[in-house]
Amino acid sequence: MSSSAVGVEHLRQFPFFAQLNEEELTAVAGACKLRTLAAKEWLFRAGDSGTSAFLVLSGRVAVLLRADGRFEVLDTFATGSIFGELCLIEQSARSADVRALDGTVLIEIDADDFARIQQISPIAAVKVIKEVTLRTCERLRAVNQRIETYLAGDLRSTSGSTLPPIALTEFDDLVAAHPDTKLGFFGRLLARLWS
Amino acid sequence: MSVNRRAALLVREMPLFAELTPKEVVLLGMVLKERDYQPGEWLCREGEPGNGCFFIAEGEVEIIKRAANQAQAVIGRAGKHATVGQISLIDDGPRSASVRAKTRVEVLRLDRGDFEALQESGSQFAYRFQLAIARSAAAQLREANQTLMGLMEHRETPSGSMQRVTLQKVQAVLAHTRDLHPVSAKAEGEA
Repeated sequence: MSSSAVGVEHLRQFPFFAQLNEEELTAVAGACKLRTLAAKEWLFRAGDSGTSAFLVLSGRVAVLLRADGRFEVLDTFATGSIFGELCLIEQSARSADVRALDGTVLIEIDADDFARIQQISPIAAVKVIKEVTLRTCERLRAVNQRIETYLAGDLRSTSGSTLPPIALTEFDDLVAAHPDTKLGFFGRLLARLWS
Repeated sequence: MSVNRRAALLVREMPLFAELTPKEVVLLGMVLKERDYQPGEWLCREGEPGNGCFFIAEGEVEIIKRAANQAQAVIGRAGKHATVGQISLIDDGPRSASVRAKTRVEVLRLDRGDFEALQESGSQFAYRFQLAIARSAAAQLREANQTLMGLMEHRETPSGSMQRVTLQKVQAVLAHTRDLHPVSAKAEGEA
């Protein structure tokens, strides 16, 4: 693992920074470090405190979960990806392990270094946070969609093809009322999550 | 100006804006519009364009989603000092859910035009405000994940160890959805 300077040309490769001009990119670059990982090197482990966001400049990392005494790959991040960016707005522990699959070069943005950007260029900081917010909303809409699909499925399975209108039902009651359908739903939802 | 002073007082009470300076609190108080809703009144409706967000100063609201046909379900609640409606303000999409007053509710409304003007001002106030909005969106994402997890847990058999492992996987996927932040203390404890 090594660190060195990050240039504006590095940041330009990421759509994440598309809204920033030269001057603003320079301010952000000042808060970035280059991190080089060898294949199979760990970036962080579950439980580590999360204080940085990462952008994949080259190579690939895997998000791993320890289950049943072995590791499962949940996802991979390749060149052009960003991950852990919520750390720029609030800090908390990492919930999964991440390690390099190949030789990988990452741009690391430490939250404290990022907080200093706003002294130099508040507008650059606003634009980055705005992008983080947009991505958060994207995920939020995706989760809401899952909730919606789940609700629709629940109603369909409990009332057959003719669906009577249900007046404002308490969520928990709606779910608890039909425990016999539990595995079918769980399975379907899992299939959806992994598709 | 008395309305603004009232708004500024309410802003100062909100943990979301704890990092704002007294001057910024006054500024924000001038921009936000105060409004009351009676129980049963809708703050916004699912599918409509989102022209602003609401900071709840007093009372409780219900977050409601259409499931199918006319069916609706309460998928969450938000109370004093919560923010609702910020998603469509940020991404310019339609409202993802409806919000209805459960009790008498007092809100501070931020309109899109004021939000955009603030973002473009290039001030440190804009940065701190954007950060507050970002955090409120992250909090909402955490809550949505919790709701989904709650749904899944209801489907879970309490005894099967196979299912427990599967549930762990789901939790990890959800955690991943929110950028490698823990889903909940419970998820951490089970891992």
